[in-house]
Formats: sequence, C-alpha cells, structure tokens
Amino acid sequence: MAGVQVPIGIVNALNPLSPWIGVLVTLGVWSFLYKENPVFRICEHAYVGSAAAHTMVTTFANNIKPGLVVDIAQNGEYWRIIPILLGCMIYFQPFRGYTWVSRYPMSFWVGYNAGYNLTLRVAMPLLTEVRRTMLPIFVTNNGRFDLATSINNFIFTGVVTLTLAYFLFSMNVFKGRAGFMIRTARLVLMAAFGAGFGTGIANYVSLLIGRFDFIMSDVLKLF
Amino acid sequence: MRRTVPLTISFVAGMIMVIDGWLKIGFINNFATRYLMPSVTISVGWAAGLGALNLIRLHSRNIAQKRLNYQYSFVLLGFFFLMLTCGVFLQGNTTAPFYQFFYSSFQVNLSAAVYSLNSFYLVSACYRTFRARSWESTALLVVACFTMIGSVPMGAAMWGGFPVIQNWIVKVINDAAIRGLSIGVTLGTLSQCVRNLVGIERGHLQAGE
Repeated sequence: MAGVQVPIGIVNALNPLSPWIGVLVTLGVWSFLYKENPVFRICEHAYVGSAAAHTMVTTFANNIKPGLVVDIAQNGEYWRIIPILLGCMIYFQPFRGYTWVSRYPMSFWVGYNAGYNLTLRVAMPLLTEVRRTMLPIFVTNNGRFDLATSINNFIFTGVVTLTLAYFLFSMNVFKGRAGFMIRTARLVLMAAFGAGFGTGIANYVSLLIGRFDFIMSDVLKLF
Repeated sequence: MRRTVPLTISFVAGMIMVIDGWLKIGFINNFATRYLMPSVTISVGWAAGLGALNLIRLHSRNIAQKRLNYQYSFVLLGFFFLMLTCGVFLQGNTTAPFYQFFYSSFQVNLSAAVYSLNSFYLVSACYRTFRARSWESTALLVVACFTMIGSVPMGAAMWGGFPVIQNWIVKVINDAAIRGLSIGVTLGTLSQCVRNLVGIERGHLQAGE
C-alpha cells in the first residue's frame, strides 16, 4: 500500500509546466464563450475525469486505506469487515436480478441519517434560529429608545414570519384582505433573492478576476 | 422479504440514533458511538466507487459503440485513470508530489475556469431577466443593483451610502428571508426523517423495479 515512489527529478522537471497548463485549460474553457468547440469539449471531459478521480483518491486516502491498514491489519478491529461488505453490496445495483441487494446499504444509510437528524443535532440549531428571531420590537439603549434598531428588528421578525407563512400555508388560506400578506411575502422574498443574486454575481466576478490575475500577473508577469 | 428487511434495517439504525441522541442508555450510546457511526463512514467510503463505475461503464460503451463524439470519452477515461493511478496505485495519497502536479495543474485550474465562466452567463441572465414588469421583479432588480454596486469599491467611491444600503439589505432583508427559508427547510427535513424512519417514504427502495 506504500506505493511506488516517482523519482523526484521527474516531478521537478514537470512543475514549471504547471502554470502554463493552467493558462491553456483556462483559455480552453473560456473558448466556449465564442461557441462550442473541440478544445472546450476536451477541457470539459478532462475536468469531469479528473474530478471523479480526485473524489476516488481522496476517499481511498482518507477512508479505505487507513481502515484496511491501520484499523483492521494493525489494530485487529475485524468487525469493520461487516460495514465494508455492506458498502460493497451497493455494487449489485447495475446487475439485473440482483438489484435488490443494493437496497440493504441504502436503507441503512437512510435510516441512520433519518435518526441522526431527529436528534438535538438538528433540533437544537432550529430552536436556536427560532430564539434568535424573537427580537425585541422596542429597543432601549442607555435608557433611550433606539428607533433604528427597533425598526430593523420589526422588519426582520416580519420578514421571517411572512416567509414562513408563504411556504408553510397553502395560498388558498389567504384570500381577500389576507392575500395582502402573501403578496408582501412574495415581494420581500424577491428582494432577498435579488440580494442573493447580486452577491452571487459579485462572487463569480471575483473568481473571474482571480483567473485574469493568475494569467496576467502570475504567469505572464505583466503586472 | 426484499422490502421488509431493508425497512427493518432503516428503522433499527434510525431508532438507535434517536435513542442515542435523546437518552443516556450506556450500551446504546456506546454502540452508536463505537460501531454505528464508524460503520456509516466505512460503508459510504467503500460505496463511493459506484459513481466512478457508472462513469467508466457509460464512456466505455460510448467508445465501444462509437457513439457521437466518442473521442472525448477517451480524454475523460484517460484523465480518470491517470490521476487514479497516480493517487492510488503509485503513491497512495493525495499529498504525493506527482499526484499534486496533476491536481494543481488540471483539476484546480479547470474548476476555477468553469466556475468563472458562470459569471458571463449570470450577466447574460441579468440582461434577459431584469425587466421591471411587476412589483416583485422590480424589487429583485432594485435590490440586486444596490447589492452589486454596494459590494464593489467603485460603488463606495460614487456615493458613501451604497455600502450602507447594501449592508442593511443583506443583514436585515436577506438574512431574515434566509432564516425563514432555513426554518422551513429544517421542519421539512424533520418531517421527511419521520416518514423515512417509519417506512412511509420508500423512494430509496425502488432500485430494480
């Protein structure tokens, strides 16, 4: 399991190529902005292949290898063979006639997670969030009425209540004048989605700037 | 039998976790911590290859049957096996220099490039969807504009009030709506968990039918 060591000379010889490979694959992916082309498709497939391999390698290095080498071989915890066999049962899924075998690990995971979520691990954050939403509407600061914080707390509590009402109750419950509540809820939700959208764009643009910075500054040394 | 046993496994595994989470019963707490929790980590780890296996199967078929654009399947499988060989068979960990070369050259850069590509599409989506046709879409448009202008240094240079408004929108309106959604999602999760535990929800047992 120790693996074959690649001569460090090969790695040292390859390392200077790394930034140029980065530039080429970045330009290859961006070439999609012109139109779909073979270079983009190659980069796209290389991305999927390397991402899948990285997931496998990470799982092997962090889970499978220590489990086999340390826990079972060194520490003699042979009970760990049972969950290994359970996990391997999922590989029956592609085989017609034996697909039912894959239900056992799946039901184990579903049951475990259902039970896990029904404990304080999920209930406690929920209660904390509810408690943090119960904000005082009349806030005093050094004995004086704090208008700005009071208005903010009122709006905050109102938006949470409206959002919950919009999603938890059927639209038909709110007819007539109560429909105003739903329309307001939709309005504040759209405003919140607008804020999320704006923040999202800012994040993606910062990624784009990072890529430009990598090409112009780190590799081409223009700035 | 093929349904009753999986449902029983679900119920037993879930109930052990529920009891472990709420009650102090020595042997159950011990069993959950020492055996059940590691069992999930181990079994999930060993099952992680299913996705890779499906990927290999799909792209091998593409190549074998010479389907449309099957040449790209060679690239995908080539990268997959190259990195897998470097990471698992050659050196056995993710910090090995040869694996790190492939990871930092290809995976990191491709990932950043693909996600940065999204910014162009988001801007394009803005252009097509940001129309003030109703009060709701106007609210989205105005708030998104304030948030974008307020979060860049140019916005603060234009008018000092933009970052203040952006901060207020994010801290009060956005946080409140997200909290409302979060509470709703958690309540939904809890109800779904109960349905899974008692066997009302059986979507995960549909394999092979």
